[in-house]
Amino acid sequence: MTKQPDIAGRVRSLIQKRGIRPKPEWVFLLKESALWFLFSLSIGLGGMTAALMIFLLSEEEVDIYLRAVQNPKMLLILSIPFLWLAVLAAFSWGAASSLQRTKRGYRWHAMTLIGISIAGSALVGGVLHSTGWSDALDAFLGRGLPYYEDIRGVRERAWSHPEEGMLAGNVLRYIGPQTFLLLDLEGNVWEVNGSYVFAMPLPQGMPVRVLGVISGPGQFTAEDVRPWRAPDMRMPPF
Amino acid sequence: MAAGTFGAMADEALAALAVRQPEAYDELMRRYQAKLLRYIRRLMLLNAQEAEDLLQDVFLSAYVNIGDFDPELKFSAWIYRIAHNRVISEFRKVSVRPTVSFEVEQDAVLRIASDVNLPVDMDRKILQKRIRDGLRKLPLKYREVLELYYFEGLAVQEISDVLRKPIGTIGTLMRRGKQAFCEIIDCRTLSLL
Repeated sequence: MTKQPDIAGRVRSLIQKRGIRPKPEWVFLLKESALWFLFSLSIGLGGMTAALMIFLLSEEEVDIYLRAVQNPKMLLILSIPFLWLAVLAAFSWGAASSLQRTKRGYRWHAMTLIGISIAGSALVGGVLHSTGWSDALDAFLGRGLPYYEDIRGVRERAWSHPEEGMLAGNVLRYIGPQTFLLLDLEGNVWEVNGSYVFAMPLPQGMPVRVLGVISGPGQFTAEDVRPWRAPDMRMPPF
Repeated sequence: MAAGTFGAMADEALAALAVRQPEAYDELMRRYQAKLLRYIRRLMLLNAQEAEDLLQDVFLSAYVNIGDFDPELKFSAWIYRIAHNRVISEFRKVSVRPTVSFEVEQDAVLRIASDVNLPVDMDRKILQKRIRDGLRKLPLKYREVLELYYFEGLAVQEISDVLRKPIGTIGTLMRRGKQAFCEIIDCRTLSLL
């Protein structure tokens, strides 16, 4: 019978000789806590991204996108909210990756982890939006994030294309159920007419978006008039 | 606590004690030395001396990180995980794989043969050689799962804890591993012998 090597004895001698000690438990606790913190942070940031996306998309309607399909440049501008999807995906990946590295994270399939992360961000985003925080977040980013204001300006200017059938501005004067004067984003005054009947008089200064066609110099025939919540639209100088 | 009293204690209780009482860790090393040595040799196809050196590193690393042991897991899964990680890290460093012969236990041979529908009544030496050769040629991702299941006798949940993969993935690796193993050793022809 072959003699078994005494590896345990050798390891014991090495431990004593080198004075090796086990790492304290708080080191592992700290590592685990850091992973859970990273997970929560990623879900929080992902939630903010989702809230911002919901906020930006809530300003648009599907038929506007369908109209913009005919103009690739316009479609690109209107698609800016969807660029946040890439940021949301990055945060979701970060959350899933942190969760996978926790003590028991490996027991879930990668798709489950990603699903949990996306669902978590969507939930946080939904709560932030429904409580009005997405609006504040958009304004905050406009003040603090470089280029964010420029991108937002590009989106707003997408509505300064009457020749493309998109016009936005503030109601200058309500003339009648089918006519009002509009001061657009460039400072031009338009007489907006249409078969569209307003349920109630449009208040002066109200920001609106108009879909329609140019019917003459300074005249725009509206197919649809909608209120607009453009955050930084200047009020007209009345 | 006297060293003799450790003999009756469960691995998990010894691991919890090992941070304060090194003698408890000695007992754990004694319990796992032979098993891990066999596991390392088979997985890495190393000679005895190389495997002993690797196991020494595994025991040292496990001692340093004993505070990371999760008492809700089985200690066997935790120590096999450390051994597995060390072996894989070594495996990636070596470009030329050694071809050292290793023992294949009889009961493991019978379990594998029965699972892949090989005739268990065929010549044991031939069967053993076929199985050994088949395992040796198997890609590592399949071999490590089959080794842990058939040779180390670990349950699927424990293998999941060792390899840090979901149970479903372990099941898939086992199924594909058995298929690949059968193709290598030509199970269909063997079953006709």
